[in-house]
Amino acid sequence: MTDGLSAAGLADAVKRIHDRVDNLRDALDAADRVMGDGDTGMTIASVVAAWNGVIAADSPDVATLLQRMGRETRRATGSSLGSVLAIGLTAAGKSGGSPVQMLDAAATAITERSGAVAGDKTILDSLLAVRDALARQRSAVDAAQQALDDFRSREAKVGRARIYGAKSIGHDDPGMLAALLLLRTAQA
Amino acid sequence: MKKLINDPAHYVDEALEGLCGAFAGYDKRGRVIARAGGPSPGKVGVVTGGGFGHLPVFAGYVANGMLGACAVGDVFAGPPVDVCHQAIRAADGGAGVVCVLGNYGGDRMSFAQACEEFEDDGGATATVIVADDVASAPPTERAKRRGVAGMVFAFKTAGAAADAGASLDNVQWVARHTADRTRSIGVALSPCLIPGAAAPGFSVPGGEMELGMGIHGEPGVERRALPRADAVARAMVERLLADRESHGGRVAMLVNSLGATPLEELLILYRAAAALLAAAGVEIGIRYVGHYATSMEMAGCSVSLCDLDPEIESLLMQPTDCPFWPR
Repeated sequence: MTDGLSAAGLADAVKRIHDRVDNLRDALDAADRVMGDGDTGMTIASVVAAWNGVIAADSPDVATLLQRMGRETRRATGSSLGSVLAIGLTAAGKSGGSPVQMLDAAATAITERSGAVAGDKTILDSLLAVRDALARQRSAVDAAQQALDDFRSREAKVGRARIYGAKSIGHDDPGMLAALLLLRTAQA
Repeated sequence: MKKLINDPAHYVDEALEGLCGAFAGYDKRGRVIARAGGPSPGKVGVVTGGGFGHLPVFAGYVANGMLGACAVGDVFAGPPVDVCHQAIRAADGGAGVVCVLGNYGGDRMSFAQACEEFEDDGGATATVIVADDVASAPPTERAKRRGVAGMVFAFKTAGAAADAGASLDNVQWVARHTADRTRSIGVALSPCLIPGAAAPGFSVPGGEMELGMGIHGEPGVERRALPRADAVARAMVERLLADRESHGGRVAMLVNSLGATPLEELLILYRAAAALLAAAGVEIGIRYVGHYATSMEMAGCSVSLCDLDPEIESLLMQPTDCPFWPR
């Protein structure tokens, strides 16, 4: 994601992710088996399939495409991570503007609707790290990796991983890992 | 784990189609299970929803005298917003809809969005979150507890109140009041496998049990060698009683199988739990023993206590034609 983000570029990124979704699914399911029920990869796979369905249509502007992706994510799953992605994509699309402005809108909506706040060790923390990186012209992928590394040693504060308390230290949050793998695959 | 299934992708829909075929009273529209007779005009509807794999929770409790409709997700994953919205519409008799939900992030977010959209179209909703699992957070953080088997008490009382003609506010109060007085704890002996998944998300080593494990394999408060049934019952009942603010009194007790544990073992648990309650001066007003909230083939059980008052007891005893609720 750069200031030059175009609808065609976004569609290409979704295609790349869709082509490699099997690897993503297996890695995320495995990560989610550590403290979850092992289905984060299946959730992401269904979301990516939904995205792939909308990019095949005409190519609207980025904001419209993001809103469509949000709508299809909403249709595809009601899992916690899927809901957060749907809320974020819809808010980003409705906001429009620069990637940083759209990420701000997404973070605000997710915070309002999910009950998660910055520092809880969720995908919101990845999103905020990416936002800060883009604001300083840095790499989104590096920022997502850095956020994953930074939060590995912290306790999860929300959702089912919260119940593990100190046992969640040392483990990656599957949603944060999903953010990294999606971004990395989009650029590959 | 061996499963009698055709295709993981068809697991949920084929099971729901079987539910509607095997029992009268259910109507399946996509992933919404609604009353075959539709909503009662002028009466409040009670709706729930959640991931699949817990039958009879959630969809099994759609019936006259209980739920009006249920939104069904994939296995252990909440239903999408649109399905929640359709369920709310299916239960709306014009007097509003009360959503009674277990405390899970996806379910809460999807229903919050669906309620907002339903209200934008002029409908009325209220929501009650059930958080009864004492193992999932201390009393000081009760609102963070997850919802487990005890949510069936709130389904029953809210549904009975709604069908008796109570207002939206009253039905919400009944559900809230019931949920506030309900506590549950579970023990898991062996895991379950999500159809299509490569491996279970958790394990319970041979000869061990996990006290307080959640219905998706969330960690409990203690893992130890599996003791005799009486000691398991004691560990569970003591934690439930310690969590109550009151002493003595009269309760409804639910001894629930997580799926694989048979009625024989539930009855051995019931026997011990009932003796412990009697010794603590707690009277059992209503008893439920069987499969209410399960996790597919997970072995284990849960015990739920609902502190009765005359209103809750009367609502629990109202007749319903639900095939999964005792007459």
